[in-house]
Amino acid sequence: MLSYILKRLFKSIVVIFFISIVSFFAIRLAPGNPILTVLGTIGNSPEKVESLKQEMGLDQSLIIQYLDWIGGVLQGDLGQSLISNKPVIDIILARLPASVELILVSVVIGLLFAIPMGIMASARPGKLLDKSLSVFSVFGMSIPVFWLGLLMILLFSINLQWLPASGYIGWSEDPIQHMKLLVMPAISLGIFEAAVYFRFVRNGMLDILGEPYIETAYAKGLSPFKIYFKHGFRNTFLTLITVLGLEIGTLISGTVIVEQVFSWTGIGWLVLNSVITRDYTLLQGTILLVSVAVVAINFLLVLLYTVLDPRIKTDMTKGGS
Amino acid sequence: MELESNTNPSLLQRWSYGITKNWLASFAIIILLFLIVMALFPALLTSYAPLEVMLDDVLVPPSTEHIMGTDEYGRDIWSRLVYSARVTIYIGLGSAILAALVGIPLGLLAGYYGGKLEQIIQVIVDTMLSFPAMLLAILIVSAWNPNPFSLIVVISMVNFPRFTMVVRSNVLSLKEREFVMAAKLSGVSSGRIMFFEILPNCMTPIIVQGSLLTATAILIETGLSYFGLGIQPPDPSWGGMLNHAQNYMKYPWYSIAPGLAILLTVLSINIIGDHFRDRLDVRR
Repeated sequence: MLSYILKRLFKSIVVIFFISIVSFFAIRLAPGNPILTVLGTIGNSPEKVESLKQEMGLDQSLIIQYLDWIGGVLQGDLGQSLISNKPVIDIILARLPASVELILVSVVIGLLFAIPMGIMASARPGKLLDKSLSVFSVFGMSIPVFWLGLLMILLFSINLQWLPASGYIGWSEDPIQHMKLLVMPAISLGIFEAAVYFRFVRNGMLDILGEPYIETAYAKGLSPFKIYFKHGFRNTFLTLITVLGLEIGTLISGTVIVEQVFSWTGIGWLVLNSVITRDYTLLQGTILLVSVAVVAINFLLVLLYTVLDPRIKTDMTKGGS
Repeated sequence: MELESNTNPSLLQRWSYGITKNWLASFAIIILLFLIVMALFPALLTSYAPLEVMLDDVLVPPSTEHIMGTDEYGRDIWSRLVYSARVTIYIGLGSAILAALVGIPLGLLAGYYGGKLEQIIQVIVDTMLSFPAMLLAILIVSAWNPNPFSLIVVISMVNFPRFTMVVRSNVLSLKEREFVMAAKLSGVSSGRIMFFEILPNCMTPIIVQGSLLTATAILIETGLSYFGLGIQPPDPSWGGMLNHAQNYMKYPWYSIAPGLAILLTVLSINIIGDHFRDRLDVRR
């Protein structure tokens, strides 16, 4: 098992290396002069061009530039914002909590819907309830999250005037307003996730309910409730952990969109803002950090999975219940 | 019914079988056919030009004259919806096809040869999948000039690893099968085996994945256009219309219409994709 974990760790490090290359070169290889692109928004003069060129290290070859950048990154220095001149890492860390909060709350909402729905659908596959829930799920996956967000603003802010349309206020400043602003972004994201997780819960339950040991449990006279939760869902939950890892990229994509719709000033909002202001060091740093986080989370989930997977200990627990 | 008299139904027959009995799938087909008409012959469906500015009719609600109302420049919203269909489908299908052209051969190579080659391809796939799709798309689009063709390239770069993964896992099981062994023993070249023996047997998961990725591509494109990073105004696009509509939330028809168009399109593609998958998945 240890060698498997080490192998995964090595793979993750290789992937992170390639991620750094893509995030660096995607911008550098773009057509056009990066300096003029950068200066286009903040004014232009020959001295500025020269100083910026040196600052960005653009007078050197691409390889040297990359090595310079990655050297800094390894020491926790992602460079400085081209606009505000603050360290990129500080700007990102300041925005991080808002995004993490939004993601966690929406995942909880998604699971709260998906798990009961998936279990109910798997109880009688092909019947009306299962079919209606599947239709809901395909709806949830097809609806553009930004439009769902706009519809919610239309309904809850403009028509009913229950909730503020958009913005972000820190928890410490005004907890009630903070929660009010969180409701709509978290629900729009949560509905999408519920739709995705639902399928995995339903199909995972169906797979497990078809196993011989479930029949044995029925034969032993266990109540359906116990069978569903003790045998069925417990195992499905492990699949769900893998799914959470696989879907984290999709989740972050959704967060970027939702943050923009509701002006929730997290990482996604930061990314789009840095595109608008052409703050390439900030953009590059944010994307690198987020993608590395995705790899790291996946690696941690693999660790968790190897610890939790009952198949490793199957022989010991099989006769237990 | 024809299926029963035919002992060896073609792929197309297998996919389409039962599609008319499933009302949801029939609904999806009708929507998609309508979209194709929108894309090919937009002038049949509207008498207004999408860029025609009518400053006397700014933000008028839906009426017999403008069935979906007008936008802030007095442009007919229905006309703009109709004329956006072409670019949406072009980017959706184009990026799925390009992703297939890149992703499928990589999947075949990785699955068939294994070893070092597989590991290299796996690292490429893992790297691309580690970027949240929207972030990677934003990163590339922000540096390159957004136009329909560059959007196709960007979106297919984000999506091709999904094809590679699906094809690779199918090749792994197919290459142990007798007919592949037989072809190998009779001296058929590896290239021929991959493309003429193995690939045809992967078509079903490829089609399912392809429909899913077309839907994803449309969501990414409309998302980018909504951010102002996709199709550039004044050219109409569903995402771009929503971007503007957000400033005119007091006129609800403006923000409802384009979103409904995206939803119906993506929904129909997903329903058809699900239908294919269910037809071919014996478990359910």
